[in-house]
Amino acid sequence: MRHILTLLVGIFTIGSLCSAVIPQKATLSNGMKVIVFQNPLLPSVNIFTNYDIGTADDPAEMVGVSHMLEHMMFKGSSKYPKGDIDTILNSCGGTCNAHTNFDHTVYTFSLPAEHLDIALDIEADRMENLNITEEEFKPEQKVVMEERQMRLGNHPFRTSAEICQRALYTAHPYGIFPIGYEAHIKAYTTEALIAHYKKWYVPNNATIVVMGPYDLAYVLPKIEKCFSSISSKELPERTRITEPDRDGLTTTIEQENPRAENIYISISYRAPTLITKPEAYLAMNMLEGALNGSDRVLYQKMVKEKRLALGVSGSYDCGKDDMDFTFTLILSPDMNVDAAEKFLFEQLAVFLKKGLVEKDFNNAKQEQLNAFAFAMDGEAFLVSMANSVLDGFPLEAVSKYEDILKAITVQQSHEMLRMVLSKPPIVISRNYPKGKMPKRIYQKVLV
Amino acid sequence: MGETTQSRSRTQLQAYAREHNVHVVFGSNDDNFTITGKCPSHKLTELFALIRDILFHSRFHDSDLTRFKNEMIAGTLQAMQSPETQLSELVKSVVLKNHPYGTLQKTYLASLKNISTADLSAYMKTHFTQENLIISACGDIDEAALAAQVSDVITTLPKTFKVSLSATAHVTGPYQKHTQTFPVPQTVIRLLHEGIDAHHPDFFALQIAMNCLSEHSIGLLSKNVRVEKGLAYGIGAGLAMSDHYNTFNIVTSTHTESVEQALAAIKGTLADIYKNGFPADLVEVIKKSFLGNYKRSFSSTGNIAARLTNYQLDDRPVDFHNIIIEKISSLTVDDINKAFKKFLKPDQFVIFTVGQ
Repeated sequence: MRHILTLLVGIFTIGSLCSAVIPQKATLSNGMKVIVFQNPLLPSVNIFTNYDIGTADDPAEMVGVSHMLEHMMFKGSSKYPKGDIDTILNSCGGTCNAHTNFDHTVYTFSLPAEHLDIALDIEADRMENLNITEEEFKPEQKVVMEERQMRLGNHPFRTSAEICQRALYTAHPYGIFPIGYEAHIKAYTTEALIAHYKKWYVPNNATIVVMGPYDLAYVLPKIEKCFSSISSKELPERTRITEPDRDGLTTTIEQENPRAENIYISISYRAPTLITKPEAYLAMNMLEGALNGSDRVLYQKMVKEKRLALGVSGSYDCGKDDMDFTFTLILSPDMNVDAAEKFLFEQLAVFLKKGLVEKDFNNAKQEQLNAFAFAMDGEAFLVSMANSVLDGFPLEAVSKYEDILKAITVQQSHEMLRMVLSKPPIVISRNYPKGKMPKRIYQKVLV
Repeated sequence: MGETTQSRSRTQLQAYAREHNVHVVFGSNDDNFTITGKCPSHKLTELFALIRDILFHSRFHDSDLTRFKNEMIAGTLQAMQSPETQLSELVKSVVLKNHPYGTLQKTYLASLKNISTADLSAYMKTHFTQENLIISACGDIDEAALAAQVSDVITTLPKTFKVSLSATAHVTGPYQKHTQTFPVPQTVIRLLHEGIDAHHPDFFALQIAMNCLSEHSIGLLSKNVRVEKGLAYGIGAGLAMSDHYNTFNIVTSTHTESVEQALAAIKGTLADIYKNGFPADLVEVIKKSFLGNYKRSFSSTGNIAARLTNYQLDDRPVDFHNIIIEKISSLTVDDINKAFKKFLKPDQFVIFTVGQ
């Protein structure tokens, strides 16, 4: 007999804490920002230390130097020499990691709640006293090269993905993925890393977010003890080239890819960054939600009824600067590309004319609101909120998030769609399996 | 599952789930089929109503099945273009060729084409039985109310489970290198060795030994292959446990030109440990790391319910978390070194590589 029921009941009171996502904030005298998301039920703490510097701010000849520096941040500091960070954290039962994107670099600690102090002390020491040596740098430079091969080099769509990114941003630094090209990685030097570190790793360019069982009154003195002695510095301006308007020009990329088993189509429109505008941002999110899902009209018609595609989705990306809204279609090799694209554009035209399907919008909104019931069950919700705040979502709007979401109307999301579709797509990319790309005249002169 | 039931379409099921904020997700692996439900505490009745409807009144339609098959075929074919999937196929074809775990993707795809809606209904009747059911729950719930809901599900299911389970598979070697050419710049590598059963007295010692090998930056393989030589972005070592197949695995990937160097570094590290053992201070750190991480893994109701399920699947007691803490805490460096020497022979790993 295996029908066994195991239970662990009555240890949580989630219901009463549903709406308790109220972050607290403070700023140290040196300009470092502190944010606390409290969840008294958590046995652990997550600490994110964010520096407002990403690969879009890197020198043109050394794209990804921010990412390389991220790797070097684990190589030891004055108080915690080589190997100490990992040994100490493991001894506490914790883990650490980091990620670098176009706009910022974030260091993460996750450890049992009683070990908050050690994480703060490590973070403070490496903010001011990082050791960058040639001996540590050389093998780590090779590790980054291996990381690039693992993430991009081995991927079936590496070339089209990188070319597509360049086509989306002809001038803006978002056009090169954060890990850079091999030539960039080879160009890094310890001198460049040290200069980058000294320039950007200062308290007035940092935000620390603590997600754990304690409140700001408990956390702030500990953070002050570790960080307040670090002096602020004048920060250089983050200057980036503005991506020029395309005057209606659409770049089309197509590739016959021997490692594509299906037809993959992406259609990208320029979309403004809205992260600092909560209402517009959530209206855009609701547009995304109304378009994605197996019970939404777009999927029902295109995939289920007409069998024009295996999958259809729309996604909005934004950073510090404008990014894109991209529709993705997946077709089996025997499906018709022209028919699928024609139907998608016709359906978008119907949405523009008659408005977004209200039921799809309401469903998307309800699905987002439902997530609040589980906000205090584990770390995931708080981590997601913290990431949004670090991306630029206003902290003051977090505690009102649910109310702002409830107030978003289908008309607001419809306006977002109108804005996205007001100009032609900037890039259309098609990846075909071998033998499935329509014959082009240039192919006749290939040897 | 959950596409349609006797009385409701997929859209209606989704609308019900959305209205009551109840979530039901299905998943399966080589050994188990899992239904995961989630709801606010006061919606337990609605959650079980949805589970019961899907479990007892599911209807399968040819048109839906065809669509899902097409999606699964497309996904599987594309996944086969990843070197990791190719490596897994290579391992299956060498080590697991006479076992159901060794079903190759091309066999799976051929079989998928023949599956009918009647097969799906028959599968539910055969496998979803009282004798083949484990239920775990965690949350702020009324135990009596939950027991009543669960009891209702159990008593409605047929009692007997008659399917015969597969015999245990072994790493049969020969202990040599198996290579497959694939057009990628980075070669993926796996070293495989016969493992031990999870109930073996040395199981926990070997679990700590694996972490002593691979823990990020301080594990001996991680230190030698990544930190000192820069040969790989990551290297993992661990016990892979299935119901009928247990192995020790070491996995990494490196530039084609560095494969031999990486393999030499791995072999050298293993030989050195075999000769000199793990350093006592490393073992202590890894033990503490294991215990702390274990504690942190109890941070959500979903994680706790999943752990409770695994305890039952592995025939462990419900308070196994106390036992594991006690077992790991009491391990000595001697226990770990002895277990490593007893069960891992550095010259008996089968080596698989996929790349150029």
